[in-house]
Amino acid sequence: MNRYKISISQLFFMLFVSRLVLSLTYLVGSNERVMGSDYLFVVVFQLVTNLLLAIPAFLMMKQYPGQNVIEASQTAWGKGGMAMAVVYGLFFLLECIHSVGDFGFFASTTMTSNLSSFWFSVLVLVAAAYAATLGLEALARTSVILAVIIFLSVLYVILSVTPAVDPLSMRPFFEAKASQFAKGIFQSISQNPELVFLLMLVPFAKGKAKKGFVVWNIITVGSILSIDTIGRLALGNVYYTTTFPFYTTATVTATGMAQRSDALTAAIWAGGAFVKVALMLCLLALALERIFHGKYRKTIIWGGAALVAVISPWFSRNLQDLIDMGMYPIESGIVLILCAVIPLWLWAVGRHRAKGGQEVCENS
Amino acid sequence: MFQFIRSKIRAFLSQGQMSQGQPQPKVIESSLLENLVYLRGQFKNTLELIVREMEIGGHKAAFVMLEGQVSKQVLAQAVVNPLTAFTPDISDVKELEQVIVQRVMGTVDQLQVTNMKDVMKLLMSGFAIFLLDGIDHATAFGLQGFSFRSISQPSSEMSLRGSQESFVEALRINVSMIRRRIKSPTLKFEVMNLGTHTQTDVCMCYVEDKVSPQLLREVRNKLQRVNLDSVLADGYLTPFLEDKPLSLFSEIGYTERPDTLCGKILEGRIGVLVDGTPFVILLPYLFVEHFQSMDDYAQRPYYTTVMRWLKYAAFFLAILLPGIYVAVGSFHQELLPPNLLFELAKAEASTPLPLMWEALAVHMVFEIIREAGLRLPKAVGQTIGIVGAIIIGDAAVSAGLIGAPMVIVVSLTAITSFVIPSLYEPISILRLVFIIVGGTLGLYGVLLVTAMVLCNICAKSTFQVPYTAPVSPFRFKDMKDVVIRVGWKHMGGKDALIQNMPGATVEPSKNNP
Repeated sequence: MNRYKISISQLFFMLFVSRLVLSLTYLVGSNERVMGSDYLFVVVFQLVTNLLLAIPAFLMMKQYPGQNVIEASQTAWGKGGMAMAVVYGLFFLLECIHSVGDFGFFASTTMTSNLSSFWFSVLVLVAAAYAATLGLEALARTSVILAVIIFLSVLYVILSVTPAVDPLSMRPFFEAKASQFAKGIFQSISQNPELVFLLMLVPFAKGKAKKGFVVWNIITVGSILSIDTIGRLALGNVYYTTTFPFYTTATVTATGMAQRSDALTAAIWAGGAFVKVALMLCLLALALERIFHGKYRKTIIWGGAALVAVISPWFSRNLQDLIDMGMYPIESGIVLILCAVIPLWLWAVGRHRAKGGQEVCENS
Repeated sequence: MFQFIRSKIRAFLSQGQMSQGQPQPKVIESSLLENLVYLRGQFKNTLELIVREMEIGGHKAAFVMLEGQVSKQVLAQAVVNPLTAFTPDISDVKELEQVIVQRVMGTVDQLQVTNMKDVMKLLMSGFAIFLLDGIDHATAFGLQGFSFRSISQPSSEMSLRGSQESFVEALRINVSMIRRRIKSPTLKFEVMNLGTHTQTDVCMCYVEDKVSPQLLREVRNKLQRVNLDSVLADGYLTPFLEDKPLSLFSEIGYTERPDTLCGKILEGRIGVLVDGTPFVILLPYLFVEHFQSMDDYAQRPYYTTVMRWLKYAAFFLAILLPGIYVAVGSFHQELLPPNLLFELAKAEASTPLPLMWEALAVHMVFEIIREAGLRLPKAVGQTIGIVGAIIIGDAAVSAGLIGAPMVIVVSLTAITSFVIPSLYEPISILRLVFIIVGGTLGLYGVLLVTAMVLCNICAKSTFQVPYTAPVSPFRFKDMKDVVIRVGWKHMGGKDALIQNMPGATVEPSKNNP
């Protein structure tokens, strides 16, 4: 049976949208506020961080060709590998709650509408669950089109803000301490759950995964760097003290007749959130359906969406407290374990078994 | 023309027309009387049945035909007069029959039939049936003379520089128009009868060395599974051909232009012609094809490219403009520059209804006027357009019931809807959906529903070809006839075949692997 459902370029378009959406409504933490312009170096360093964290994933995929991390776990540990399905499923559920919770917080604090943030979240979840039930191929094809729209829209905001740029806003540089850099680099790992998504999706994608990953890494980090740089240049210190920096940047855009692209930004974010939430519901189904032998895919998707709808309002209300309690470092730790430690472990187990088998052959 | 058509009929009937699982047909008896009694019984209470009995060489004979189906002039000249003048001296009835059929009759197309089912089918297809007492088969003579609409200009796909011919209701004439354009033996027409009562001729048309055998099998199987009592139009077959007949966007296309059909089947597609309908079904049909027309390939590439972009813009305007206007006017006024905002506020301040209800009401009125204009005779239809659009619209604005900007938005939307007539049905429904979404959820809701619609379109496949190909899955070299139109020197080739679209999982054609 042909396992390939999408192409590598479609996969990385999905991951690009997913990553960019996070940057558009990223809630600034205390470390970023303190580091100021020096945080841009942390963004650049993500190029290196992502490359390093992807190595275990590619090693694992080489050791278990054509298998995603859950299938590889089952190969390595038999029925015990099913626990990985639950672990990764929970991770995708948590990421979904995080994204929808962010959106709910964004809607309640920034958007003006006659609907409450809860109903906005429900709307995103219904749309995303519907898209998830249509399958990975449909979502991948949609992502390609939406990625272009989102990219062009972000480009429009960046170009519109250019008249307000003041190079002096970037100063001061190199005033952050090494420990702050290290903390920033570690926390930035939490912004890249796409490295975990790779472990699930690469076996379903046809094409050169490594090349695609490098291109994705460069373009994604480049886009985020551009957003952060232009925002910093336009808003100065306000950029890292405001709740939603990019959204705030969009409020100062003016191009001829059109002005205040904040509603446009929010609308674009909604489109990107749709892709991200749908992707995570897809991954949740992909992980948990292994437990049910490939059945109940739609039930898992709609059930997951319902659970997210119930939990995300609590998440939205307590978001600031969670950040203060160290949500980002904890999330970084989880991403590190799931995208690096477990794949390395699997690789080691597989390599050990392969070596053991080779020794048996040599001895016999 | 009639002789040309008749010469094809023997091939059609001998290709083995599909039966609908009916019981063994009644055979023709040797007794003329029994045969005539049977036929009169089948056609009782039918005024068209004509039976002309005669005696030839001492043997009773009869001609049976349906009035209005045969040409009486040809019948008289080619058949009746020679027979009347024929005074045979043959006692053996079989020999007599051979002499009559092979030497006396002046017709080109003759068929021998042995059962009453074929006799009745041929009668209803414009054949005259010759029965001779003592012979257990009949001879059918192709003398079609039924009236049909002459070839005229297409009513829905106008072209400035292309052919001005369109298909007509008669299947055989449509077949001849296609054959005239593709003079290749690989062009095939497979006919089958669908509809238990109507026995409508349905013909699959394809180019054998271009089409995928898998696609051909699939279409044939789907048509054979049609179990309708009557097939009176191509729309009857649509639900049987589509995988998701309830979807907003159709997986199959239609054309009434022979040149368009020929262009499509030369790309590996299949045309389904239905007798009695001037529109031909095209499948598979991709989303981007709605934005292509025959004139695109006759005009200069740079102009066609601009027109293509205009069509894409018109599509999005037609769907999204009313919804965005309602959303921005209701929830996101900050997006508008102050001068424009002031003018819109002034216009809408005195209207009684909120923007959403105003938009819905105006669109409903527009649809009513459009439907009324379609059904009425042309002269009155134009008057309805003038009365409805100008008088009612102007009066409503003057009375303060609706705002002038709303009339402008609706008018612009209406005009842009007709830029792509093949997408009018989904456009008109989606427009209403987006008005409701924009009026309740604002711009965010519009974008989310847009994403859902986009996902729905991306999820569709038409006969194992992704509906959004070659945009998504994307292939750069296919953009030469999608977002732009390059010159003819760079178009065509294997990549133009539908089975070679990116993401397609259809078996390649025999000569184009």
